[in-house]
Amino acid sequence: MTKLILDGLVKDYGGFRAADNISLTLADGEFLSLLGPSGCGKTTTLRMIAGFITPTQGRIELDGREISSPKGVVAPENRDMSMIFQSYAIWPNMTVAQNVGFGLRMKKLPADQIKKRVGEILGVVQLDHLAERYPSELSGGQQQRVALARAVAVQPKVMLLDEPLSNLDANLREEMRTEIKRMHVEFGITTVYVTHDQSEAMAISDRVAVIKAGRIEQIDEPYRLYARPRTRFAAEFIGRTNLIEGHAKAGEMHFEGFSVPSAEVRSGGVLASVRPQNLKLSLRGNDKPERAEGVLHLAARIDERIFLGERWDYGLALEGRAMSLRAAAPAEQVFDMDAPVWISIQESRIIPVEGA
Amino acid sequence: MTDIANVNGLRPLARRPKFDWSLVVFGLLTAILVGLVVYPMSRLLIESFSDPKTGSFTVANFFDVARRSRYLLAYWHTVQLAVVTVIMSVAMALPMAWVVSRTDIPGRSLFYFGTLGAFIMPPFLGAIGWILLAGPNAGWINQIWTSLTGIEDPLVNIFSLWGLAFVIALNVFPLIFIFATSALDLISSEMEEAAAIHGAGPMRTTWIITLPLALPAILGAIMLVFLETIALYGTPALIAIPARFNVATTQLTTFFEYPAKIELAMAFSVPLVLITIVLLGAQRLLLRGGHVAVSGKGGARTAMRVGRWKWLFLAHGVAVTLLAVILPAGILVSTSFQIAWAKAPVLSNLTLDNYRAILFEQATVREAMFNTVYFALASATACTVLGFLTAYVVIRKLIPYSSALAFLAVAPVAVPGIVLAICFYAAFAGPPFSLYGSSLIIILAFITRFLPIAFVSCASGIRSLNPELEEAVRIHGGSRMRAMVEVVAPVLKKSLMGVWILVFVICSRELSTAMFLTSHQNRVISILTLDMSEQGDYETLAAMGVVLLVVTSTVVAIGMRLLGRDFMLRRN
Repeated sequence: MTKLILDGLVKDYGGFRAADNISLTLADGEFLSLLGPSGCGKTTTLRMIAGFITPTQGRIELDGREISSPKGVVAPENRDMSMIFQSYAIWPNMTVAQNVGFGLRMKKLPADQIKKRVGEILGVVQLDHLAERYPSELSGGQQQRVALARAVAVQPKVMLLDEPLSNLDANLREEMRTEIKRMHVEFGITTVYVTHDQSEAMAISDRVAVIKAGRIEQIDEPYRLYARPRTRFAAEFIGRTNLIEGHAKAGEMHFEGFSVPSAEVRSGGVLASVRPQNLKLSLRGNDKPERAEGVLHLAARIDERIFLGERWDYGLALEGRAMSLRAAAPAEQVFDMDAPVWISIQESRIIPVEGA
Repeated sequence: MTDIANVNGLRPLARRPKFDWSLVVFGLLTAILVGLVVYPMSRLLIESFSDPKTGSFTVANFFDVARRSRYLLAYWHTVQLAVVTVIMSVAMALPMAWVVSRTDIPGRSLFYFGTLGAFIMPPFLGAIGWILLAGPNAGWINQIWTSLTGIEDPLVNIFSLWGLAFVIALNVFPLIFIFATSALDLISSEMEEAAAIHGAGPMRTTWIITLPLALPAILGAIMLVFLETIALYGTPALIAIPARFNVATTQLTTFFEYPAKIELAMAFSVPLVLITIVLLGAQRLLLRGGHVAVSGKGGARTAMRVGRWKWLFLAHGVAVTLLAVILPAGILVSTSFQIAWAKAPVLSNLTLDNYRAILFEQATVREAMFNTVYFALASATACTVLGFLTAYVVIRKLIPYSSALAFLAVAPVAVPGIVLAICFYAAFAGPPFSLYGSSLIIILAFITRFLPIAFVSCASGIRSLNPELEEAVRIHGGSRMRAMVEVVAPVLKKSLMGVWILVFVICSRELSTAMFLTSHQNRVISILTLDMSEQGDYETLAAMGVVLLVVTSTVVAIGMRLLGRDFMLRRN
């Protein structure tokens, strides 16, 4: 059973704080992604886990043993981890089999066992026919598979992946993502995955930690991250969203012309997020919309429309208010420009992200 | 989970944390660099400022040196010599560089080989060749001149400042060629085409566009030639001493005549070191602040058509190759088979005795040849290893203040070989080391002298390597040392081999650094050349030179085979 704990990690570079109070606990076999824009500190955090960087404050614990603290770190080679690098870092002077078998050789396994295990792993990633080739003879996707096989072969306690798909083209990227997921399911290695691509993180992870400017903004399962963002950054970084400003009082959020009950909100200014997919549109005639419990109706006009092939992206101007919203509608739901519409929103989909 | 996941309980084989030997190695490395660089060089400062008898601080040594007009005259000759050499070598190299880089003149790739030949010709052998060709009395050119015209006065006299500059220029012009071609190679033809479309002819374009763009690089090379010339000892010793004038380096050796005045030698050397530091600094500034167009990737280039002028340029290149390589090498080869060098190489004058003498009879020559190869092998190997390790520590910032190591590794560049020899003499010749006359002292001096070359080449190789390759080793259970031995060194195999060969070749003909450190046991070919030339023993000398040339050319040829044509002629 592997248990990896990051406790209040801080890394300063001169006056710049690259990682700020990062705390995480990974359960055995968990797949966790660190997601954020470039320069947010996710790679710094990963490299602290790997032991390449000494934290300025905080500690890392693996299976009850402290492996990193400002006082010192257990060297990367003694941490029982493995890593897949952005550049793959396949050693060009070694064959595929030598690359994959390296970690086993370092563990002083007998040669015949190494050979057997390398063969098996190469079989899993479908590279057994290339065992004696050199990396320069392989395609990008094949090199990535070698990196994956090399990282899995040693059966590490923790496997680290640093944007492993960013150098691949779009088709290969999806294929490799599936491959990584498959290996994870097959071997159940505790995994930390760094990426700036939110769809990649959502597709592959058990949990995602959204990081901004060195801090964890939110850590949650992918769907909860989408449905219940807790900060403005998390709401905007995961998919698209509408942000509306208002103020809160006595368990209600008040916006221009409508109010929504909310249990979690504090009194004062509030910023709420509502996803474009949660705005349902219907043509507005002279009749009133059907009343339903917990559903909000707003009168609006189509202000802008973009057809994206699979769906419509509508810009909506609310009647009588200086507010505009965006809605995502199915391809079949066609409205003309300036058409009057009703917007229906489940009140529970309006999530306070600031002032909560 | 599948059953693959459980091969014989991989997990229970938990390792004991391994000891990181790299720290020991890097500590040792620092100690070696301090011992090789800081310690000897500090002697220069200390001894030049101390009283030889009492050891107390004094500036009297500098006054002693500055008071003697003889000493000042030597410096004045050195400056004159360097200026003339620069002018001559520019005249030799620049047209060739332009032809190779920008024109369609046929046969221009042969110019590369002319330049390479000049580059690998040891300077003292070129000088011997030219003494045989252009000595005032028996020199071949003068003999032919007299027999053709009947005039007894010699046509040319190599024993003069002009002759000396000419011989040196024939040896150093490749520096300018290399810098100029690599700068010219980076200038996009579009720049020239832009001038052409606005009405400038090809020659005018070359003058107002192409050459000015390459100027910073050329000026940088000129400074290197200047430095090379003022630091040179062998060629001036062979030519200036018989011509009865002194340059700074030959003057320096007079301080070692009995009774040796090390403190004066040190004080006398200080200006040489200062000039070097200033010019090297200026050269770096110049190359850094060069025109934007010359940095970065060069655009496409189309060869310029030169028309009728091509014969002139071709003749120029051929003439330089002839003067720098073919004539001196030819005269050495022919002399090595002759009984008397000044007589015509007719059948009755031919012999193999010279080779038999150097290979089987004369122990001094045999030992010198053995020493040369042995010192060059040892120094090249040690230099490559040291340069590689230092560069690795510096580039990967493995120890605190690692940039100080970089400074140590390049610092010897500022010290001319002959001054370095004095430093090593002062540092290691006497007790407690008592290394005078040993192999070790020469090897150590060679290592120090050529460490900058090894360091800079290794550093550029390591810089090009993604650090993730090494991190991958470590996270998969290998130590820092293992990353270096199993990944970094094998991946950089070719550039390391290039460094080794380069250092081997320049060690095999290094003269000035071996001065003052040799006695009869540890002489090398270059040193022996001076003695034999003084004795007028040109036939055996030529045979020895030919052997050295053959060895050097073979090594270079192997290197070119393995590493490509340009490995010797690259800009660093």
